[in-house]
Amino acid sequence: MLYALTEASPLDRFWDFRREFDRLFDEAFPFGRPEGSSTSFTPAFDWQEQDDGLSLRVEVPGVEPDKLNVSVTGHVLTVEGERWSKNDEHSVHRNERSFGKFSKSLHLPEQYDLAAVEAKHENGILTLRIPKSAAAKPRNIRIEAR
Amino acid sequence: MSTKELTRGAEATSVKYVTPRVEISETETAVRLYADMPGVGLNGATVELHDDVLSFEGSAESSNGRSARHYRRRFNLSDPALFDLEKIAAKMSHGVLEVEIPKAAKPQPRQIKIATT
Repeated sequence: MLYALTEASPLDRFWDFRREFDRLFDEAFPFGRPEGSSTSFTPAFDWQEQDDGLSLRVEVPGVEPDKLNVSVTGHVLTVEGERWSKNDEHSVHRNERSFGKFSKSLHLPEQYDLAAVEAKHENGILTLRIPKSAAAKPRNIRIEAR
Repeated sequence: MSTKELTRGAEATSVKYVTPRVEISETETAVRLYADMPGVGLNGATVELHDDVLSFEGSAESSNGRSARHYRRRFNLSDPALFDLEKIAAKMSHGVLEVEIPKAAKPQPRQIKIATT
C-alpha cells in the first residue's frame, strides 16, 4: 500500500511511538488493557463549579447525536456514547483516533437539581449545565437596620 | 519523501497549537484524512494545499472557562501526480474534519495499431 501522506513535522511522530507502545503492551498483556487506555474511546471530561451550578464539558468529536445519551438515575448522572471508524480496517494506514463505546457516571451531591439538567451538543462538544437546587443556591439575607 | 520540519520557529512566540489526532485511510479511489478537532465549527477550520504540503487548522472558541484552542497539522503529499488535486474536498462534522483527496483516473490502456508494410 502506498503511504501517500507523511508527517511534515517530526515532533508529531510522538503518535507513532504511542502506537508502538500500545502494541507492545498488547503483546505483553494479552488479556487486555486497563480501562481508559489509549485505544478505547474515552472522551476528555472537565467541569467547572459556579455559584449557581455545575458546568460539565465532554469532548465527543465524531459522535453522532443519536449515539450520545445523557441520563439521570437518582443522583447519578450518566453520559454514554460511541463512535466507530468509517473506514475498512485494511484501508487505514495511520490511526491515532480511538473508537468504541464509552460510559461515564458521576455521583452528584444532593445540592444539585438533576431534574433541571440542560444539555447542548455542538461541534463535537457536549456541555451539561446542572443547576443547584433553589435551597442550595447562595442567598442574601437582608439585614434589618434598627 | 520529505519529513522536513516546516515552520516551527515562528509559532513559539504567538499561538500555541494542539496537534489533532488523525486517521488516514487509502482506497483505490481516494485518500481520506480525519482529524479530531472538538469545538471547531465550519467557520473555524481551514484546509490548504501549498505545493505538496497539505495543512489544516482549526480554532475552537473559548467556552466554559477554557481558553480558545488552536489545532494545526501538516502532511507532505508524497506523490502529488497520483491525485486529482483540483477535486480535494473537505467537510466538518461534529468536530471532526474530513479531507478527501481523490486519486486521478488511471490512463486507460490504448491499443496501438500495427501498420503493415
